[in-house]
Amino acid sequence: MKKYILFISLVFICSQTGSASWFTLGLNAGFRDLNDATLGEIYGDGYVYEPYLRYSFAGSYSLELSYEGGYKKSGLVGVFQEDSTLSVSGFQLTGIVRVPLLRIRRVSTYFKIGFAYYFYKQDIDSPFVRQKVDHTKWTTVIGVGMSLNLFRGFFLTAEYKSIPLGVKPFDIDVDLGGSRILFGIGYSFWL
Amino acid sequence: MNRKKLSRAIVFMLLVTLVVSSGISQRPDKISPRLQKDLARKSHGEKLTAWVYFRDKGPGISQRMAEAGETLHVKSLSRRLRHGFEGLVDEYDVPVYQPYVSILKQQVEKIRHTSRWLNAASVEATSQALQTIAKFRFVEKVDKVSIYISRDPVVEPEAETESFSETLPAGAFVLDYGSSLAQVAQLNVPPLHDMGYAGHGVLICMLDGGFNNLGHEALDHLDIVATWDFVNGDLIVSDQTGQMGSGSHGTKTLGIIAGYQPGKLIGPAFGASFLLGKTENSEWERHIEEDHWVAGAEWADTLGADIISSSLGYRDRFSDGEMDYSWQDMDGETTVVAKGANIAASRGILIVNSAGNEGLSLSGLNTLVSPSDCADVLAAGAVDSQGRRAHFSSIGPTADGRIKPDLMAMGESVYTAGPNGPKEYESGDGTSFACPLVAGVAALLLEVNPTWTNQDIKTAMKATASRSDSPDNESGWGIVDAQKAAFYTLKSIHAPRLFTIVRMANNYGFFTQYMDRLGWMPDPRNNGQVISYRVYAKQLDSENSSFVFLTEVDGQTLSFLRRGLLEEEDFLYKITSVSASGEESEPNFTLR
Repeated sequence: MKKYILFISLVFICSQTGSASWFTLGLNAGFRDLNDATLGEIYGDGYVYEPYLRYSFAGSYSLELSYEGGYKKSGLVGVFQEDSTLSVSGFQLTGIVRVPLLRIRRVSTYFKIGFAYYFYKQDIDSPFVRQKVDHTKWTTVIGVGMSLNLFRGFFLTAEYKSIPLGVKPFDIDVDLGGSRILFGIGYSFWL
Repeated sequence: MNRKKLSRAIVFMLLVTLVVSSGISQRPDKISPRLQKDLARKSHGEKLTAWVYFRDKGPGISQRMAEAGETLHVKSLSRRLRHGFEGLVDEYDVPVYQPYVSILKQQVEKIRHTSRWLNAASVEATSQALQTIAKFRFVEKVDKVSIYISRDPVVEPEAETESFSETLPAGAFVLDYGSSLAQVAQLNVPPLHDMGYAGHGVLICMLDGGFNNLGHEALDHLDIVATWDFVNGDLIVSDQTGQMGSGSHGTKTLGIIAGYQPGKLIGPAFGASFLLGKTENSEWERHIEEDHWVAGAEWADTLGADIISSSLGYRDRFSDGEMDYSWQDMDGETTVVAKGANIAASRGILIVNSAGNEGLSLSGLNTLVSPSDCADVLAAGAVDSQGRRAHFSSIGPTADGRIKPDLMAMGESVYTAGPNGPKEYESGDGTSFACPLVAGVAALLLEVNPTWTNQDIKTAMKATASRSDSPDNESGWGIVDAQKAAFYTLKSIHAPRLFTIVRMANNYGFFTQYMDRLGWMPDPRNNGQVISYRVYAKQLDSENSSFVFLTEVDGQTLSFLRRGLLEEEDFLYKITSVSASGEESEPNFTLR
């Protein structure tokens, strides 16, 4: 399915090569929450940052490659409350469609949808732990955002994303998914 | 007023006081929930059998304790002495307070038994009377006497195989065991017989069904010290017209343990003395009632029995179709008979009980019957003549994780005296028949080693049995080896007792790991000689695994937490006591 989406996207991009196109570099940062109740109690919500490269074409469409990092939190885990850390990060590839929802000058709104490849890792400081959580998982991304164009290609963004990430590396089903609220700055340029 | 009148007046005043005070002391929880259920089902006039537990044993305990000591047989006192029983007599020996019983008598149809160990009386009474009794201030609790139906196992016919005894050369032993050779040779009993041991001087109490046909040619040599019919309350343990109870289950178990007719039947302890207690009701579907068993065990203690061989057990198949005890109750502490067996064992009596004929048939972790679930009771499982576990033989572990059964003996086609004539013989199946074989070997060990305690006998039998290095919950420590056990050298220190295991989960969020909490109790006979305990583990699901040393904890520590285990990992744990001189005791085991 993911390969199919990727293929369609590439075909679509290639078909648009005759239209105007530009690139955007940006950095978002914000908060994410953690759906899993157990891990939520141990590690809680956290901050994330997200640098991205966006290729825009045909006026309203973009393809964005981003990396989400920054979520690395400590907590006491298990019966003996041992020190541990949980980190969750991943690459996202999303398609963006700009839709003029707000009739405000210099403001544009957009939807994004795509997929992501996530890394998650739990380190427990205990000599008794025999299972190591250091796994990966494909998932999907959906989001909605708003840009405020400033000057000379610079703009500000606010974005909401939801990323489901149900995993089961061993015997327990864990929901590492959650929503993100991000704010950032970007710069668009012609090549 | 003379002395007699004065004492009568005191008793009368006491009775009046008790009766008057009784009306204002009802506690609704005095009647157990299971008896309450029965009371609700039955009409007011209908008779029920119930335990009435007393709050205390009345005044003047010290004086009455001294009097109680005088009623105990010298053999009972010497057994207690051998076991280091402090003071020789304790409160358990004091009979129930007679004025309480006198008041009960006015309310009930019949007092069945009084139990000094449980401080209770079993009674037959109407539901109305039981509700009145529950109001008495001196009554602690009223509970149901459980009545069970025990069935002998159905053995599936097997293909003919060469019997163990057929592999022995003719005339290998001094005695001619006839058709009973397989069952005693499998336990390596004949070499001890050849040396002249036959259980002489050992008093064995058989608690069983009817003992008909005691004039059988294989039984007429027996030294029967006393008999008592606990079902009907008289001396006759055979069938009597017009009485409850019939059958010869006791005859068969007696024949197995002590029959002596060369060329036909020779049991392991044919030279022992016997107490015969009829505690069961009938033959095929044996109605067994727990109050009879406790009364029988107390009787055995009073008369000085060294060993109780009890081929019965309590679990389910209630006469009213309810299942009172579940596998979780098989923890060696819960059932009434377990409580009685524990007290008997604390007085130095070695109890051998059939493990049960439930095989794998009951739901739950184990299929044991009580009191074979007790730590101090040797639970006898059944094997065939080839040493394979009989399919019906009940399995462990106990609800608190101890390995059961303890030992195995032949329980299929066991040859014994028949009930219908002086020369009749027959074969039977069941752990009921493995039990007297194990008990008989225990008697031989006690004859060879008269200073051994019941714990010593257990230790020697387990340490020398066929699976002593890898006990499990199907066959325990394996098939008994009488000769090895009799000449086993006991260590001067003993392994910890009540070695138990609880597995606990540790949730790390993404996965669960487990930990085994091992707990144990010091053996009081060690008298502070133990400076440490060593714990070992052997993984069960990996081939060729051997015991790995885990830890050594000091002698004050009575638990150990083993962390970092995965769900599928099961272990056999072993623990030993270590003395200051470095001597390590025989091990005790527990299984996860």
